Amino acid sequence: MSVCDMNESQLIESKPIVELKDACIHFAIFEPGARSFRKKMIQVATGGHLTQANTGHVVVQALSHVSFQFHAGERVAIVGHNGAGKSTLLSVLARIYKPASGTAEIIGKVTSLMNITLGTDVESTGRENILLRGAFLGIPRKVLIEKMEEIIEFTDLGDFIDLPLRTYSTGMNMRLAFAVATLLRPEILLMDEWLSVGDEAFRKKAEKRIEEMLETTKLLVIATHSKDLVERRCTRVIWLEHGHVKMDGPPDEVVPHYFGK
Amino acid sequence: MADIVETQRRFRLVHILGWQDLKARYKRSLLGPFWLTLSTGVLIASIVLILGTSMRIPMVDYLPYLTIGYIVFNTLTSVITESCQAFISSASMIRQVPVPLFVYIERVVWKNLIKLGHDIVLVPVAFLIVSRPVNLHALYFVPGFLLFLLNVTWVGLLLGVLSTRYRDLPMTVASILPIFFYLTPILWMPESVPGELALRLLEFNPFYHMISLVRAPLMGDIPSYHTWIFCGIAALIGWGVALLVYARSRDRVVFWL
Repeated sequence: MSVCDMNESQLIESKPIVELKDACIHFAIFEPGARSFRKKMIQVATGGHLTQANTGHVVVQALSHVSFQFHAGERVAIVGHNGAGKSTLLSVLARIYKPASGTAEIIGKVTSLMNITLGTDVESTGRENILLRGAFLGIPRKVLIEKMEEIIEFTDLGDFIDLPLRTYSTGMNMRLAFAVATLLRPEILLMDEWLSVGDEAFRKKAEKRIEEMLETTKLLVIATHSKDLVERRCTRVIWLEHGHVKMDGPPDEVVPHYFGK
Repeated sequence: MADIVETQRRFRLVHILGWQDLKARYKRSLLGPFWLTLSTGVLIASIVLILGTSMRIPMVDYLPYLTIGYIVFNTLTSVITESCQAFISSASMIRQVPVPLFVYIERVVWKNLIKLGHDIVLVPVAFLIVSRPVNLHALYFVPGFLLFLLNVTWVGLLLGVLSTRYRDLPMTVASILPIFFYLTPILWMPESVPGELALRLLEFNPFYHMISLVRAPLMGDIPSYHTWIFCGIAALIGWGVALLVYARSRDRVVFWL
Protein backbone atom coordinates (compact mmCIF):
# COMPACT_ATOMS: atom_id res chain seq x y z
CA MET A 1 0.00 0.00 0.00
CA SER A 2 1.47 3.33 -0.96
CA VAL A 3 1.34 6.48 1.07
CA CYS A 4 -1.27 7.91 -1.29
CA ASP A 5 -3.72 5.08 -0.66
CA MET A 6 -3.39 5.54 3.03
CA ASN A 7 -4.15 9.19 2.71
CA GLU A 8 -7.45 8.30 1.14
CA SER A 9 -8.36 5.83 3.80
CA GLN A 10 -7.53 8.52 6.31
CA LEU A 11 -10.54 10.48 5.13
CA ILE A 12 -12.78 7.66 6.21
CA GLU A 13 -10.96 6.99 9.43
CA SER A 14 -11.30 10.45 10.81
CA LYS A 15 -10.60 9.82 14.45
CA PRO A 16 -7.08 11.00 15.25
CA ILE A 17 -4.67 8.46 16.71
CA VAL A 18 -2.63 11.13 18.40
CA GLU A 19 -4.12 14.23 19.89
CA LEU A 20 -2.31 16.82 21.95
CA LYS A 21 -4.34 19.60 23.46
CA ASP A 22 -2.53 22.54 24.93
CA ALA A 23 0.19 20.21 26.21
CA CYS A 24 2.91 21.74 28.36
CA ILE A 25 6.06 20.04 29.55
CA HIS A 26 8.43 21.74 31.91
CA PHE A 27 11.42 20.55 33.83
CA ALA A 28 12.00 22.01 37.23
CA ILE A 29 15.72 22.30 37.79
CA PHE A 30 15.99 22.00 41.54
CA GLU A 31 19.09 23.53 42.90
CA PRO A 32 20.61 21.06 45.35
CA GLY A 33 19.24 23.04 48.27
CA ALA A 34 15.67 22.76 47.15
CA ARG A 35 16.01 19.01 46.91
CA SER A 36 17.16 18.58 50.46
CA PHE A 37 15.38 18.19 53.70
CA ARG A 38 17.36 20.99 55.25
CA LYS A 39 15.55 23.64 53.29
CA LYS A 40 12.23 22.00 53.99
CA MET A 41 12.95 21.77 57.69
CA ILE A 42 14.19 25.31 57.94
CA GLN A 43 11.07 26.30 56.12
CA VAL A 44 8.94 24.49 58.65
CA ALA A 45 10.96 25.90 61.51
CA THR A 46 10.53 29.43 60.28
CA GLY A 47 6.86 28.98 59.67
CA GLY A 48 7.12 28.30 55.97
CA HIS A 49 7.38 31.93 55.01
CA LEU A 50 10.62 31.81 53.14
CA THR A 51 10.10 33.49 49.84
CA GLN A 52 9.85 31.70 46.60
CA ALA A 53 13.20 33.12 45.59
CA ASN A 54 14.98 31.22 48.31
CA THR A 55 13.57 27.83 47.50
CA GLY A 56 12.83 28.79 43.94
CA HIS A 57 14.01 26.67 41.09
CA VAL A 58 14.53 27.38 37.47
CA VAL A 59 11.83 25.96 35.28
CA VAL A 60 12.71 25.00 31.75
CA GLN A 61 9.70 25.13 29.53
CA ALA A 62 10.37 22.35 27.04
CA LEU A 63 6.99 22.40 25.34
CA SER A 64 4.38 25.03 25.79
CA HIS A 65 0.77 24.82 24.70
CA VAL A 66 1.34 22.37 21.91
CA SER A 67 -1.81 21.22 20.16
CA PHE A 68 -2.20 19.04 17.12
CA GLN A 69 -3.88 15.91 15.83
CA PHE A 70 -2.22 13.14 13.88
CA HIS A 71 -4.35 10.84 11.77
CA ALA A 72 -3.60 7.41 10.43
CA GLY A 73 -1.51 7.55 7.28
CA GLU A 74 0.42 10.67 8.14
CA ARG A 75 4.20 10.86 7.97
CA VAL A 76 5.16 13.72 10.21
CA ALA A 77 8.52 15.45 10.36
CA ILE A 78 9.43 17.46 13.41
CA VAL A 79 11.93 20.15 12.59
CA GLY A 80 13.52 22.84 14.70
CA HIS A 81 16.85 23.95 16.07
CA ASN A 82 18.66 22.16 18.86
CA GLY A 83 16.72 22.55 22.05
CA ALA A 84 13.49 23.40 20.28
CA GLY A 85 11.73 20.49 21.95
CA LYS A 86 11.86 17.82 19.25
CA SER A 87 13.09 15.02 21.46
CA THR A 88 10.80 16.05 24.27
CA LEU A 89 7.86 15.89 21.90
CA LEU A 90 8.90 12.41 20.76
CA SER A 91 9.12 11.35 24.39
CA VAL A 92 5.59 12.59 24.97
CA LEU A 93 4.44 10.50 22.02
CA ALA A 94 6.33 7.53 23.46
CA ARG A 95 4.27 8.00 26.65
CA ILE A 96 7.34 8.73 28.75
CA TYR A 97 6.52 12.33 29.61
CA LYS A 98 3.01 13.19 30.63
CA PRO A 99 2.05 16.82 30.07
CA ALA A 100 1.96 18.90 33.24
CA SER A 101 -1.06 20.67 31.84
CA GLY A 102 -3.14 19.93 28.80
CA THR A 103 -3.65 16.43 27.51
CA ALA A 104 -1.89 13.96 25.28
CA GLU A 105 -3.92 11.10 23.92
CA ILE A 106 -2.01 8.42 22.06
CA ILE A 107 -3.86 5.41 20.73
CA GLY A 108 -2.08 2.23 19.75
CA LYS A 109 1.27 0.57 20.12
CA VAL A 110 4.29 2.81 19.91
CA THR A 111 7.82 1.83 18.97
CA SER A 112 10.57 4.29 19.41
CA LEU A 113 13.81 3.87 17.50
CA MET A 114 15.41 6.75 19.36
CA ASN A 115 17.88 4.96 21.55
CA ILE A 116 17.84 1.36 20.50
CA THR A 117 20.89 0.13 22.41
CA LEU A 118 19.39 1.13 25.73
CA GLY A 119 19.24 -1.38 28.54
CA THR A 120 21.70 -3.79 27.03
CA ASP A 121 23.97 -5.60 29.44
CA VAL A 122 27.58 -5.86 28.31
CA GLU A 123 28.34 -8.92 30.40
CA SER A 124 25.50 -11.00 28.94
CA THR A 125 25.65 -12.80 25.64
CA GLY A 126 23.95 -11.63 22.51
CA ARG A 127 21.21 -14.20 23.00
CA GLU A 128 20.56 -13.06 26.58
CA ASN A 129 20.47 -9.48 25.42
CA ILE A 130 17.83 -10.28 22.86
CA LEU A 131 15.66 -11.58 25.70
CA LEU A 132 16.49 -8.58 27.87
CA ARG A 133 15.75 -5.98 25.22
CA GLY A 134 12.65 -7.88 24.23
CA ALA A 135 11.41 -7.84 27.81
CA PHE A 136 11.91 -4.09 27.93
CA LEU A 137 9.92 -3.65 24.79
CA GLY A 138 7.20 -5.88 26.16
CA ILE A 139 7.65 -8.67 23.62
CA PRO A 140 6.47 -11.96 25.12
CA ARG A 141 9.27 -14.43 25.80
CA LYS A 142 7.60 -17.08 23.69
CA VAL A 143 7.65 -14.87 20.62
CA LEU A 144 11.29 -14.02 21.25
CA ILE A 145 12.32 -17.64 21.50
CA GLU A 146 10.36 -18.51 18.39
CA LYS A 147 11.94 -15.68 16.45
CA MET A 148 15.38 -16.10 17.98
CA GLU A 149 16.98 -17.76 14.96
CA GLU A 150 15.39 -15.24 12.63
CA ILE A 151 16.77 -12.39 14.70
CA ILE A 152 20.23 -13.92 14.85
CA GLU A 153 20.25 -14.47 11.15
CA PHE A 154 19.23 -10.90 10.55
CA THR A 155 22.08 -9.57 12.67
CA ASP A 156 24.71 -11.57 10.75
CA LEU A 157 26.57 -11.98 14.00
CA GLY A 158 27.27 -15.67 13.55
CA ASP A 159 29.01 -17.25 16.51
CA PHE A 160 29.39 -13.92 18.23
CA ILE A 161 25.81 -14.29 19.38
CA ASP A 162 26.97 -16.56 22.21
CA LEU A 163 29.73 -14.23 23.38
CA PRO A 164 29.30 -11.44 25.90
CA LEU A 165 28.34 -8.11 24.45
CA ARG A 166 31.53 -6.45 25.62
CA THR A 167 33.38 -8.31 22.86
CA TYR A 168 31.21 -6.66 20.21
CA SER A 169 32.14 -3.70 18.07
CA THR A 170 29.86 -0.68 18.14
CA GLY A 171 28.44 -1.66 14.78
CA MET A 172 27.67 -5.20 15.92
CA ASN A 173 26.01 -3.89 19.03
CA MET A 174 23.83 -1.62 16.92
CA ARG A 175 22.89 -4.45 14.59
CA LEU A 176 21.72 -6.58 17.47
CA ALA A 177 19.75 -3.73 18.99
CA PHE A 178 18.23 -2.87 15.65
CA ALA A 179 17.11 -6.44 15.01
CA VAL A 180 15.21 -6.56 18.29
CA ALA A 181 13.82 -3.04 18.16
CA THR A 182 12.32 -3.56 14.73
CA LEU A 183 10.73 -6.87 15.59
CA LEU A 184 7.40 -5.34 16.47
CA ARG A 185 4.99 -3.88 13.98
CA PRO A 186 3.72 -0.86 15.86
CA GLU A 187 0.91 1.47 14.93
CA ILE A 188 3.06 4.48 15.70
CA LEU A 189 6.75 4.63 14.86
CA LEU A 190 9.01 7.30 16.35
CA MET A 191 12.45 8.07 15.03
CA ASP A 192 15.16 10.56 15.72
CA GLU A 193 16.69 11.06 12.30
CA TRP A 194 16.57 8.27 9.77
CA LEU A 195 18.27 5.33 11.40
CA SER A 196 21.34 4.00 9.65
CA VAL A 197 23.25 1.15 11.15
CA GLY A 198 26.30 -0.84 10.29
CA ASP A 199 28.21 -1.24 7.08
CA GLU A 200 26.94 -0.87 3.54
CA ALA A 201 25.52 -4.39 3.30
CA PHE A 202 23.68 -4.19 6.59
CA ARG A 203 22.44 -0.71 5.90
CA LYS A 204 20.55 -2.00 2.86
CA LYS A 205 18.97 -4.71 4.96
CA ALA A 206 18.09 -2.24 7.69
CA GLU A 207 16.62 0.13 5.16
CA LYS A 208 14.44 -2.66 3.83
CA ARG A 209 13.33 -3.57 7.34
CA ILE A 210 12.27 -0.01 8.07
CA GLU A 211 10.40 0.19 4.79
CA GLU A 212 8.54 -2.95 5.76
CA MET A 213 7.68 -1.47 9.11
CA LEU A 214 6.41 1.70 7.48
CA GLU A 215 4.05 -0.27 5.29
CA THR A 216 2.06 -1.46 8.27
CA THR A 217 2.66 1.53 10.52
CA LYS A 218 -0.18 3.99 10.68
CA LEU A 219 1.85 6.94 11.81
CA LEU A 220 5.49 7.91 11.48
CA VAL A 221 6.86 10.78 13.50
CA ILE A 222 10.47 11.63 12.83
CA ALA A 223 12.62 14.40 14.23
CA THR A 224 15.08 15.51 11.62
CA HIS A 225 17.41 18.16 10.29
CA SER A 226 17.43 16.73 6.81
CA LYS A 227 15.57 18.65 4.14
CA ASP A 228 15.85 15.74 1.76
CA LEU A 229 14.21 13.39 4.23
CA VAL A 230 11.33 15.76 4.85
CA GLU A 231 10.64 16.24 1.19
CA ARG A 232 11.01 12.61 0.26
CA ARG A 233 9.21 10.91 3.10
CA CYS A 234 6.87 13.20 4.91
CA THR A 235 3.36 14.43 4.37
CA ARG A 236 3.43 17.00 7.11
CA VAL A 237 5.96 19.15 8.90
CA ILE A 238 5.78 20.58 12.37
CA TRP A 239 8.28 23.31 13.07
CA LEU A 240 9.06 23.75 16.73
CA GLU A 241 10.75 26.79 18.16
CA HIS A 242 11.37 27.26 21.87
CA GLY A 243 8.74 24.66 22.62
CA HIS A 244 6.05 26.34 20.54
CA VAL A 245 4.65 25.12 17.27
CA LYS A 246 5.81 27.78 14.87
CA MET A 247 4.42 26.25 11.73
CA ASP A 248 2.40 23.17 10.92
CA GLY A 249 1.61 22.15 7.37
CA PRO A 250 2.54 20.12 4.32
CA PRO A 251 6.26 20.06 3.36
CA ASP A 252 5.99 22.39 0.37
CA GLU A 253 4.50 25.01 2.66
CA VAL A 254 6.86 24.73 5.63
CA VAL A 255 10.13 23.67 4.00
CA PRO A 256 10.79 26.99 2.19
CA HIS A 257 10.30 28.88 5.42
CA TYR A 258 12.38 26.64 7.62
CA PHE A 259 15.18 25.52 5.33
CA GLY A 260 15.14 28.62 3.16
CA LYS A 261 15.19 28.23 -0.58
CA MET B 1 -2.81 0.42 41.23
CA ALA B 2 -3.01 -0.46 37.56
CA ASP B 3 0.75 -0.02 37.43
CA ILE B 4 1.20 -2.72 40.01
CA VAL B 5 -0.99 -5.13 38.09
CA GLU B 6 0.82 -4.26 34.89
CA THR B 7 4.11 -4.93 36.63
CA GLN B 8 3.02 -8.46 37.44
CA ARG B 9 2.28 -8.98 33.76
CA ARG B 10 5.79 -7.85 32.99
CA PHE B 11 7.32 -10.00 35.68
CA ARG B 12 9.70 -11.49 33.14
CA LEU B 13 11.39 -8.10 32.88
CA VAL B 14 11.58 -7.77 36.67
CA HIS B 15 13.07 -11.22 36.85
CA ILE B 16 15.73 -10.61 34.22
CA LEU B 17 16.72 -7.25 35.68
CA GLY B 18 16.86 -8.59 39.21
CA TRP B 19 19.07 -11.47 38.23
CA GLN B 20 21.23 -9.22 36.15
CA ASP B 21 21.82 -6.89 39.10
CA LEU B 22 22.92 -9.79 41.21
CA LYS B 23 25.00 -11.50 38.58
CA ALA B 24 26.72 -8.32 37.52
CA ARG B 25 28.83 -8.35 40.65
CA TYR B 26 29.85 -11.99 40.41
CA LYS B 27 30.19 -12.44 36.71
CA ARG B 28 33.19 -14.52 35.76
CA SER B 29 33.78 -15.69 39.30
CA LEU B 30 33.68 -19.37 39.99
CA LEU B 31 31.17 -19.44 42.82
CA GLY B 32 29.01 -16.68 41.40
CA PRO B 33 26.24 -15.51 43.74
CA PHE B 34 27.22 -18.19 46.22
CA TRP B 35 29.96 -15.82 47.26
CA LEU B 36 27.11 -14.12 49.08
CA THR B 37 26.34 -17.26 51.02
CA LEU B 38 29.96 -17.84 51.77
CA SER B 39 30.71 -14.36 53.03
CA THR B 40 27.56 -14.27 55.15
CA GLY B 41 28.49 -17.66 56.55
CA VAL B 42 32.00 -16.55 57.45
CA LEU B 43 30.63 -13.45 59.12
CA ILE B 44 28.09 -15.36 61.19
CA ALA B 45 30.72 -17.90 62.17
CA SER B 46 33.04 -15.21 63.44
CA ILE B 47 30.29 -13.46 65.40
CA VAL B 48 29.44 -16.76 67.02
CA LEU B 49 33.05 -17.36 67.90
CA ILE B 50 33.48 -13.94 69.47
CA LEU B 51 30.11 -13.34 71.09
CA GLY B 52 28.60 -16.80 71.33
CA THR B 53 30.69 -17.91 74.25
CA SER B 54 30.31 -14.73 76.25
CA MET B 55 26.55 -14.45 75.80
CA ARG B 56 25.60 -17.17 78.27
CA ILE B 57 22.97 -18.31 75.81
CA PRO B 58 23.08 -21.98 74.83
CA MET B 59 24.54 -22.42 71.38
CA VAL B 60 21.55 -24.51 70.34
CA ASP B 61 19.50 -21.32 70.62
CA TYR B 62 22.06 -18.73 69.69
CA LEU B 63 23.41 -20.01 66.39
CA PRO B 64 20.06 -20.43 64.59
CA TYR B 65 18.76 -17.23 66.19
CA LEU B 66 21.70 -15.19 64.99
CA THR B 67 21.74 -16.77 61.54
CA ILE B 68 18.10 -16.08 60.78
CA GLY B 69 18.13 -12.64 62.37
CA TYR B 70 21.23 -11.58 60.52
CA ILE B 71 20.04 -12.78 57.11
CA VAL B 72 16.60 -11.27 57.45
CA PHE B 73 17.95 -7.97 58.70
CA ASN B 74 20.32 -7.91 55.76
CA THR B 75 17.47 -8.40 53.31
CA LEU B 76 15.46 -5.71 55.00
CA THR B 77 18.22 -3.11 54.94
CA SER B 78 19.31 -3.97 51.40
CA VAL B 79 15.80 -3.45 50.09
CA ILE B 80 15.50 -0.19 51.96
CA THR B 81 18.82 1.30 50.86
CA GLU B 82 18.62 0.03 47.31
CA SER B 83 15.07 1.15 46.71
CA CYS B 84 16.19 4.68 47.55
CA GLN B 85 18.25 4.43 44.36
CA ALA B 86 15.70 2.38 42.43
CA PHE B 87 14.65 5.18 40.09
CA ILE B 88 17.81 7.24 40.26
CA SER B 89 20.08 4.45 39.08
CA SER B 90 17.70 3.49 36.29
CA ALA B 91 17.28 7.08 35.13
CA SER B 92 18.35 6.46 31.56
CA MET B 93 15.94 3.55 31.17
CA ILE B 94 13.05 5.42 32.71
CA ARG B 95 13.66 8.33 30.35
CA GLN B 96 13.64 6.05 27.31
CA VAL B 97 11.25 3.17 27.76
CA PRO B 98 7.69 3.49 28.98
CA VAL B 99 7.62 0.81 31.66
CA PRO B 100 5.56 1.12 34.85
CA LEU B 101 7.79 2.59 37.56
CA PHE B 102 6.78 -0.08 40.00
CA VAL B 103 8.88 -2.48 37.92
CA TYR B 104 12.01 -0.83 39.26
CA ILE B 105 10.88 -1.26 42.87
CA GLU B 106 9.95 -4.86 42.34
CA ARG B 107 13.32 -5.35 40.69
CA VAL B 108 15.01 -4.34 43.94
CA VAL B 109 12.74 -6.56 46.02
CA TRP B 110 13.17 -9.47 43.66
CA LYS B 111 16.92 -9.12 43.53
CA ASN B 112 17.08 -9.28 47.31
CA LEU B 113 14.72 -12.23 47.41
CA ILE B 114 17.07 -14.14 45.15
CA LYS B 115 19.92 -13.09 47.40
CA LEU B 116 17.93 -14.27 50.40
CA GLY B 117 17.37 -17.54 48.58
CA HIS B 118 21.13 -18.03 48.52
CA ASP B 119 21.68 -16.96 52.10
CA ILE B 120 18.87 -19.05 53.47
CA VAL B 121 20.90 -22.17 52.76
CA LEU B 122 22.79 -21.26 55.91
CA VAL B 123 19.70 -21.68 58.10
CA PRO B 124 19.36 -25.46 57.78
CA VAL B 125 23.12 -25.67 58.14
CA ALA B 126 22.92 -23.80 61.43
CA PHE B 127 20.09 -26.04 62.61
CA LEU B 128 22.07 -29.12 61.69
CA ILE B 129 25.23 -27.97 63.43
CA VAL B 130 23.47 -27.59 66.76
CA SER B 131 20.99 -30.39 65.85
CA ARG B 132 18.00 -28.32 66.77
CA PRO B 133 14.60 -29.70 65.83
CA VAL B 134 11.95 -27.64 64.04
CA ASN B 135 8.35 -27.93 65.22
CA LEU B 136 5.04 -27.34 63.50
CA HIS B 137 5.04 -23.66 64.42
CA ALA B 138 7.46 -23.27 61.54
CA LEU B 139 4.37 -23.18 59.31
CA TYR B 140 3.72 -19.66 60.59
CA PHE B 141 6.77 -18.75 58.54
CA VAL B 142 4.61 -18.63 55.41
CA PRO B 143 2.12 -15.94 56.49
CA GLY B 144 4.87 -14.24 58.44
CA PHE B 145 7.11 -13.99 55.42
CA LEU B 146 4.28 -12.78 53.19
CA LEU B 147 3.47 -10.00 55.62
CA PHE B 148 7.18 -9.20 55.75
CA LEU B 149 7.29 -8.90 51.96
CA LEU B 150 4.18 -6.78 51.89
CA ASN B 151 5.74 -4.33 54.31
CA VAL B 152 9.13 -4.26 52.66
CA THR B 153 7.55 -3.46 49.31
CA TRP B 154 5.59 -0.43 50.39
CA VAL B 155 8.61 0.96 52.21
CA GLY B 156 10.61 0.50 49.02
CA LEU B 157 7.95 2.18 46.90
CA LEU B 158 7.62 5.15 49.21
CA LEU B 159 11.36 5.63 49.63
CA GLY B 160 11.98 5.19 45.92
CA VAL B 161 9.63 8.02 45.02
CA LEU B 162 10.65 10.37 47.83
CA SER B 163 14.39 9.79 47.35
CA THR B 164 14.15 10.79 43.73
CA ARG B 165 12.70 14.11 44.73
CA TYR B 166 14.74 14.70 47.89
CA ARG B 167 18.27 13.55 47.24
CA ASP B 168 19.33 13.76 50.87
CA LEU B 169 16.94 11.02 51.85
CA PRO B 170 19.11 8.09 50.68
CA MET B 171 21.98 9.37 52.80
CA THR B 172 19.71 9.93 55.77
CA VAL B 173 18.39 6.41 55.49
CA ALA B 174 21.85 4.93 55.05
CA SER B 175 23.09 6.59 58.19
CA ILE B 176 20.14 5.55 60.33
CA LEU B 177 19.96 1.89 59.36
CA PRO B 178 23.18 0.66 60.99
CA ILE B 179 21.96 1.96 64.35
CA PHE B 180 19.08 -0.46 64.16
CA PHE B 181 21.47 -3.34 63.76
CA TYR B 182 22.38 -2.82 67.39
CA LEU B 183 18.98 -1.65 68.63
CA THR B 184 17.29 -4.72 67.24
CA PRO B 185 17.71 -8.14 68.83
CA ILE B 186 19.93 -9.84 66.30
CA LEU B 187 23.19 -10.25 68.18
CA TRP B 188 21.34 -10.31 71.49
CA MET B 189 18.07 -11.70 72.76
CA PRO B 190 15.36 -9.65 74.45
CA GLU B 191 15.34 -12.15 77.31
CA SER B 192 18.94 -11.45 78.16
CA VAL B 193 18.38 -7.73 78.60
CA PRO B 194 17.79 -6.56 82.15
CA GLY B 195 15.12 -3.95 82.74
CA GLU B 196 11.56 -3.38 81.71
CA LEU B 197 12.20 -0.22 79.81
CA ALA B 198 14.35 -1.73 77.09
CA LEU B 199 11.67 -4.32 76.38
CA ARG B 200 8.97 -1.68 76.29
CA LEU B 201 10.95 0.34 73.78
CA LEU B 202 11.47 -2.76 71.71
CA GLU B 203 7.74 -2.89 71.05
CA PHE B 204 8.15 0.27 68.99
CA ASN B 205 11.02 -1.01 66.91
CA PRO B 206 9.62 -1.97 63.49
CA PHE B 207 12.74 -3.94 62.68
CA TYR B 208 12.18 -6.11 65.73
CA HIS B 209 8.66 -7.00 64.63
CA MET B 210 9.64 -7.54 61.04
CA ILE B 211 12.39 -9.94 62.00
CA SER B 212 10.24 -11.73 64.57
CA LEU B 213 7.66 -12.36 61.89
CA VAL B 214 10.12 -14.63 60.12
CA ARG B 215 12.41 -15.74 62.93
CA ALA B 216 9.99 -16.76 65.64
CA PRO B 217 8.24 -19.52 63.63
CA LEU B 218 11.53 -21.09 62.66
CA MET B 219 12.71 -20.95 66.26
CA GLY B 220 9.60 -22.87 67.27
CA ASP B 221 7.50 -20.00 68.59
CA ILE B 222 4.50 -18.18 67.24
CA PRO B 223 5.12 -14.49 66.63
CA SER B 224 3.37 -12.51 69.35
CA TYR B 225 0.02 -10.80 68.88
CA HIS B 226 1.83 -7.50 69.14
CA THR B 227 3.97 -8.39 66.20
CA TRP B 228 1.06 -9.48 64.00
CA ILE B 229 -0.95 -6.41 64.85
CA PHE B 230 1.98 -4.04 64.49
CA CYS B 231 2.98 -5.41 61.10
CA GLY B 232 -0.58 -5.77 59.89
CA ILE B 233 -1.43 -2.17 60.68
CA ALA B 234 1.89 -1.00 59.26
CA ALA B 235 1.11 -2.81 56.01
CA LEU B 236 -2.36 -1.26 55.77
CA ILE B 237 -1.36 2.29 56.56
CA GLY B 238 1.94 2.00 54.71
CA TRP B 239 0.37 0.79 51.50
CA GLY B 240 -2.25 3.50 51.75
CA VAL B 241 0.35 6.22 52.07
CA ALA B 242 2.71 4.71 49.53
CA LEU B 243 -0.02 4.32 46.91
CA LEU B 244 -1.22 7.84 47.52
CA VAL B 245 2.26 9.29 47.10
CA TYR B 246 2.92 7.07 44.12
CA ALA B 247 -0.31 8.00 42.38
CA ARG B 248 0.34 11.69 42.92
CA SER B 249 3.95 11.70 41.76
CA ARG B 250 4.06 8.86 39.28
CA ASP B 251 4.00 11.14 36.26
CA ARG B 252 6.44 13.58 37.84
CA VAL B 253 9.21 11.15 38.79
CA VAL B 254 10.66 11.17 35.28
CA PHE B 255 11.11 14.94 35.50
CA TRP B 256 12.93 14.70 38.82
CA LEU B 257 15.57 12.31 37.59
